[in-house]
Amino acid sequence: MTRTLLALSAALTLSACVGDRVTLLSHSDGGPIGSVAVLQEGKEDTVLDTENQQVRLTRGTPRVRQLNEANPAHSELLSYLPPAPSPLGLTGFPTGEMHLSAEQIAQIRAHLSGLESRPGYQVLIRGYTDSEGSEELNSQVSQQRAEGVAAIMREAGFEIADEDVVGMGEYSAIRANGDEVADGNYRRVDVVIR
Amino acid sequence: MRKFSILIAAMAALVAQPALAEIGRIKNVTSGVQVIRDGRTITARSGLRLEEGDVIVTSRRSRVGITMSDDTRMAVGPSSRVKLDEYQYDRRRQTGRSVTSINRGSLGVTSGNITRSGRDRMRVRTPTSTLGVRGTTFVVEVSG
Repeated sequence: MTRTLLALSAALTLSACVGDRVTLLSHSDGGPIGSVAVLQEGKEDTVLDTENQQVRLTRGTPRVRQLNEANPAHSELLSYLPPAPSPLGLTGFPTGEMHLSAEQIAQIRAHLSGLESRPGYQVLIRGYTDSEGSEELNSQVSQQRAEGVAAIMREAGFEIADEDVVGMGEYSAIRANGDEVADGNYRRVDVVIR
Repeated sequence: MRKFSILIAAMAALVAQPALAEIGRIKNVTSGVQVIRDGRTITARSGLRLEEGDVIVTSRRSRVGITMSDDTRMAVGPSSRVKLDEYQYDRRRQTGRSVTSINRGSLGVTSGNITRSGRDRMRVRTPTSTLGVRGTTFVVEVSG
């Protein structure tokens, strides 16, 4: 009852807002704050980069102010964000072989055990390689890794849609390590709940 | 094991990366949320796949949570109208660009991979302004 009243009160507060505005908040996942900019052609951007900073959006010059505390209506709205994607990383694949240990299968089962609590859930299988070798070959190998894990998971009774099995290639490894670097952490498959 | 590897390679060759129309999915949703697509009205439900150009409309007491393909997450508040104007995303490279507009109501966002593609690659438009999103959580409110 209290929660319903709180939600209704927050909804009314938001719907009765006095003009258009954007408010920067603490990162919902605890990450860095980042920033939002009001872009204006021919003028300098107005940048929000501090928690609880707010700018009134008008056709003229944006006006920035610092709020003393978070607006409960904003917290209530953000409580409706879907949960962040949750990855389980599987590593230790021998070159040219596709095998999951009993322990890895058990890890996958445990990882996927809470699926029903996530409305509209999706299970993604993403294969990766390190940055050694050609882009084309690594794309192929990463797809093979993802397909291999998906095949084993399907045999174990999990439903995985074809379009959710993706070879991510070497791009993540290149961003992290540069090109032509061997790194077992990137010879991996992620089972992601989204 | 070698035969298995060859079989997987053959399967992989057959499974080309399709051009997906899906750009995101509806996750948590209350009653009273509609998606307008090409002039048709679709009742929103968990798992509904969203496409570029979709308009999300909520009623006075409804809300909806959306996860986009780049892991951007959105919460659309009551009495809102939000359009997914443009959305391009390369799943492998994890790069792209997007434009979302809000004509009325409230929109909470935690940005995803697109904001790491480059400066202001994710934009949110209001009736008066354009916002460049640089990796963060924020709320936009438009009185409409």
